[in-house]
Amino acid sequence: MNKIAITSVIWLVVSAVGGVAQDEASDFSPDSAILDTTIPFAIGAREATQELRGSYGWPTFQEGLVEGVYFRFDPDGYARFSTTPRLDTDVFEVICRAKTVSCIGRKGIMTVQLNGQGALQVILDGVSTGDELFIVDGITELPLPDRILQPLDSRLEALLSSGGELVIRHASAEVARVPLSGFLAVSTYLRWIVSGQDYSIFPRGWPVPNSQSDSNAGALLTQSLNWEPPIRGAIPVLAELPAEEPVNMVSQTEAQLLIDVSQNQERIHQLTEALNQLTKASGFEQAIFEQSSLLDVPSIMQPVVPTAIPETGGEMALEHIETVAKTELEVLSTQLNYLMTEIGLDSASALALLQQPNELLTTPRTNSPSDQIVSEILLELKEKIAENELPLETTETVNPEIIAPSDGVIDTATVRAADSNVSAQDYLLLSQYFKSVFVE
Amino acid sequence: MQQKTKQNKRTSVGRGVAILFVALVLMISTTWIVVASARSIFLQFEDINPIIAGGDLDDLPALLRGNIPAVTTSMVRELPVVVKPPRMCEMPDDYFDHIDKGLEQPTGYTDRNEYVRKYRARRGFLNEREMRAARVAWLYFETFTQETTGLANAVGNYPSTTMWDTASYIAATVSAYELCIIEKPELDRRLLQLLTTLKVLDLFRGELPNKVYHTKTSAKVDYGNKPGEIGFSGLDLGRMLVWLRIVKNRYPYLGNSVDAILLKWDFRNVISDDGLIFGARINNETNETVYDQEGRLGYEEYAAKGFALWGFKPILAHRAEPFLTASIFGVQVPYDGRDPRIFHSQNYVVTESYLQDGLEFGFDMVHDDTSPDWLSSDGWRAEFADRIYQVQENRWRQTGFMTARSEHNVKGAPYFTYDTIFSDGYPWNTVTPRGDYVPNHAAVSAKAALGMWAIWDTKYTNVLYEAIIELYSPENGMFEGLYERGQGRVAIFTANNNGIILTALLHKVQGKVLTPYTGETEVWYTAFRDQNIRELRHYPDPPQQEDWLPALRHSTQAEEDF
Repeated sequence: MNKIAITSVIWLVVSAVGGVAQDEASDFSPDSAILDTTIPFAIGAREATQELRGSYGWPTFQEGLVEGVYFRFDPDGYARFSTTPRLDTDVFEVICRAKTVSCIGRKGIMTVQLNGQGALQVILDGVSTGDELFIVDGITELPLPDRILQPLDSRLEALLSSGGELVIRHASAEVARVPLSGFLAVSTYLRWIVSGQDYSIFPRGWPVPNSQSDSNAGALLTQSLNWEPPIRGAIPVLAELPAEEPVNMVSQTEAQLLIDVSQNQERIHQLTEALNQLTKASGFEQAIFEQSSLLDVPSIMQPVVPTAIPETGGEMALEHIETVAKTELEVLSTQLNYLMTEIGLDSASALALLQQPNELLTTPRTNSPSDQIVSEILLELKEKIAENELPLETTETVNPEIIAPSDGVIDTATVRAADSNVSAQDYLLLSQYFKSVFVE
Repeated sequence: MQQKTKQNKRTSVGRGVAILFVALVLMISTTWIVVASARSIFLQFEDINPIIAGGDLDDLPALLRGNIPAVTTSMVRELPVVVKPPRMCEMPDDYFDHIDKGLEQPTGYTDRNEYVRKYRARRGFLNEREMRAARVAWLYFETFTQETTGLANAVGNYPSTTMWDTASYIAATVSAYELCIIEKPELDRRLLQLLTTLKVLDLFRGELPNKVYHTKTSAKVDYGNKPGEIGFSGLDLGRMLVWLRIVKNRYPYLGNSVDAILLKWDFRNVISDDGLIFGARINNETNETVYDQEGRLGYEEYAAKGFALWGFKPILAHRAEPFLTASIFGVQVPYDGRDPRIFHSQNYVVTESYLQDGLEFGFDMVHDDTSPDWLSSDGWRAEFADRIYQVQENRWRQTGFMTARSEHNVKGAPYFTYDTIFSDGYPWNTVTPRGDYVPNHAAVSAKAALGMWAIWDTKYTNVLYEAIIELYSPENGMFEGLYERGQGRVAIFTANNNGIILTALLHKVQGKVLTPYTGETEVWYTAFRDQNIRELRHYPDPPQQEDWLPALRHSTQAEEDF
């Protein structure tokens, strides 16, 4: 009996040892591939062959340059992104669980991954309660809310994608610093994997292969006509998500502008004074919202309204509004152009949005992606103003009356705007915001 | 008066005799000249040297050329052939007391472009620690050899292998036998089973062994170990040819089995007419076979010697040119001069190929069966190898990093790294096969460390020895190495690492592993003489002196270059 037991133990040990060794070599068969390296991730990317000396490995990989970072990835999803062509420093590494599209990106203490809903989640090793997070772009330093460690909304994702460095401080002492270079490329790559290499998930401005501007012959050579993702069941809701809300809808440039809010404080200050004067002008708010009801959300976002407001009085302002009212075709054209070039909507979404102004006005638009973004921006601004989270100079220049106006004009406007979920206060705030962001 | 008359008469006679002698000489000379001139003009006779069948002057037809012996230095220079050393357990206790280390010989090239190295190899019996390391290394092959085919797994129990790794298994088996870890029945059982499997391998498109085989089924597979084919590797085959020759020369009774393997192979595309080595791959779009030149400085010459051992003429592959040098820690490190951007092949400088040349060939030419251990007839290879060693010792001395660089497997992605001395324009560049720079995977390679310890008997290699000799798992063999940045052991076990470690230990006992061929004719040279198969598959004739690879020299570095 003892002999049998000992033999069994030995067999188990040997099996375990063998099992450990088996794990050393992964399965490199085509069935295990989650990516087809012939399908370019970006314009100019190319498939290349590896010089394998051993008995196993991936014979091909893909390499290229996108959004300022060089990248290489294997068919199993393993990838490296770096600002240098050697992929040697400041490396964002992506590792996937074998034969699945469950992947994570790692750089230093930072790990990024997609959750079940397709939202990006950032995990920072060693960050404890009370630690402060900042995004630093060399000159400015923007504090980040705690929800940066929760699934990211598109704004925060855009913010992190804009570059700079993520700084973690504990009791004012810096404990870690992670360059954010490659964040956008990695987050896009993670979504691209999950979507089965679907180009529709690419954010606005991404150098999509085979687009009109893709004249790279090398990329054409790497086209695969018959590629189908091997992990078919793994294409989740994310693949369809971009049709409703393009991920990273705000481009990297725009996100950079978000950071520059504090730098535009002077303009906000001027605008605040102008608005204070305008709020005293009878009927002005009403006129604005009549106009906005025609133009709907895009018109609310139009920077032309607040920026063109003269400071000399209500009558001149009304005259100005009349000049702004163009023919419907011109307005539609302007709006369409704005939605596509500035907001980043695809042409179909922008057109659909413009073709349903009345419906949008009369029904709650909580599901509209544009509204969501508007609401989020407003919420963010309010929170920052209320909690003094904005840089000191900015909070000093914000007129408290804008936040809580007391005159009757504003109240009327608020009632008129209730259907659209945007209050007059919100509108004013938003106008200031876009005035500050979209510098003429 | 009478006396004066007599004296005059004598003088006249003397003159007459002299005149007569002169006249005779003139007449004979004139006659000879006239006759010779007449013969040369009128009778043109040929100087006929009779040609004896099979003799030196006999231009043998292909049908008969297989019987002539391969010419080696012992035949040409009439020197005694080096004798195969006995197994370690059969050596007398004073065996190493009589070893000629050539310590009094000046360093540098000889007139024949042989080279006397600055350093000497480490020689002697294995001590207890070394024997334990040898046994543990052999344990890898006991554990991971497949009973069904006799093939050993290249990495752990992942059932696939290459010709390179299979050669490492042969190296391990020969070493285990010579170090008395296994006995002859075990040696024969393993080698015969392996050789039988190699003979029946399904070749890549009927030419040469595929790059990868499944070790359980011996089926040709792709890199995912699924049935399929990839191509063949000229470098892998070169190493396999080295070890098949070692087996055949050491154990002539296995010669027919070895020859039978090679006589199935088709060499028409693996070596070009100008002597370059080629590998093969499949064009994915056309499904046609594509042949690419294979090998860079270091590996290319080693593989070339493997082919030359069987009579091929890889003239260009054996030359160092084109090469450049990079000054690293005062040493001009040679690297391949072919631009990777143009040729799409990296020029990795690692220790391994130089080690294998040193351990297996003793940095000798393949036709050299006479030179002592301290003299390397492939001179520039030995001189370059010394530089490869020196730059690593210098790095250790100047930075503190123990350095023994080679290619090695790693656990998890990227699975394999070229841990180089120089590549892509950077010193100490650790890169993956696809080119990523992965300095965290830099390691003291176990095989490189013990290989250097065997060939360079220095204080520095004593340090390497201490770092590596106990770096093993009692169940799986020697670990792949020790991470340079302090992450511990490279926790993976491979046939190549354990095979080279065993070879290094064998070299300490026996010196150069390749021993001279002791037979006369070989089936390899005589087979298919009555058919056109030899011509079609480019089987060579026994090499003669004019077929020898040239022994060359390159400029040496007199002092360190800082």
